[in-house]
Amino acid sequence: MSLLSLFPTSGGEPADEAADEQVSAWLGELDPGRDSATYWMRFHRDTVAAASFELARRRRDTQRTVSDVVSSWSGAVVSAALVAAAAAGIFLAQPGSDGGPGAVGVEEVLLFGLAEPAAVESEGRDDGSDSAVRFTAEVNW
Amino acid sequence: MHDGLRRDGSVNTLPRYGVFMQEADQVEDGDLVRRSCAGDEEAYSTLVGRYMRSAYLVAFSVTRKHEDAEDAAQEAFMVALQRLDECRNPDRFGGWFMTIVRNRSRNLIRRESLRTTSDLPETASSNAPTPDRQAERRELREQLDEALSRLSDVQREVVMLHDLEGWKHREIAERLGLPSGTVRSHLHFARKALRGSLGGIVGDHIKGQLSK
Repeated sequence: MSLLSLFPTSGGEPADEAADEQVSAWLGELDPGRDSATYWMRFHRDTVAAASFELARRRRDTQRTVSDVVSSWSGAVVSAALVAAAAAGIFLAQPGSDGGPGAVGVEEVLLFGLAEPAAVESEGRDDGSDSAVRFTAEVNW
Repeated sequence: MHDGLRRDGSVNTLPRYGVFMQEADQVEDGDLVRRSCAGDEEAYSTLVGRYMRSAYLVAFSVTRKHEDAEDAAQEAFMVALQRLDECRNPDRFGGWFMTIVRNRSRNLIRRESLRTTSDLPETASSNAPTPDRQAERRELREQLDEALSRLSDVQREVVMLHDLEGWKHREIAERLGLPSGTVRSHLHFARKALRGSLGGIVGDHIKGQLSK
């Protein structure tokens, strides 16, 4: 096949759009497919083959649904929830370790008052000072 | 419209390969890019077929070595696929991709500056010319290489894409990011320079091609 037949000048094109036949013929030497009819086919095949992994990854990413995403996270989320629940259970089951008074309910305070008000009162009187604690003890009904 | 057929319906020079891609050639770049983003192998294959020769020519314009141009073009396709989501305007894939080709080519020159490569494609044994013709072509290639070395990268790109790949001024302007007038100016200068360098050495090989 001649280069001229490969580089036709189409009549409908503006003159300056037409390929320069002589220059085309020279540059045709640079075409690696000129002497090997299969060069471009091999180039194409190799290039597409090299991309197969990336294309497959993109297909996988596209095909992932919302449920796939949720299920992919569910394992980790369930494990973390179980661990957190176990830790909370252990914490609640343990008695107060600092030896301090336990929690006092609001109803208990209203019905029975705070425990040991006398101790507070006596401390105030021992000091002989006119402290707010003493005042509180005196006005205690 | 870069693969297989030129605008007047005749077979283009480089493709030979693109006959079976005629139907795919009707699909817009933007559609092919979007489908490739989703991993559509057929769409990506069409993009490769459409741009592989221009990628090679642009890479060759920068590297001026066949093997480097081949490597850079193939690398560029891989990089383009990996970064396809960054292509803001898929309908203008060509210009975006040519920038990648150019950058990969320059990187490859820097990276492999010590590697020895042949300047021009090896002749395939299946279609090997006679020794006389080989010698003549070798001489032409040496002079062609010298003539091309006197052009700038962009001048080489413009003349190769226009006179070898068959791109129009408008397409070159869009894809290389140049004003149309600048493309014409580069093409005129490059042709003139090539004629000045090679005008006196039109060998029998070329004469034979032109006379057919």
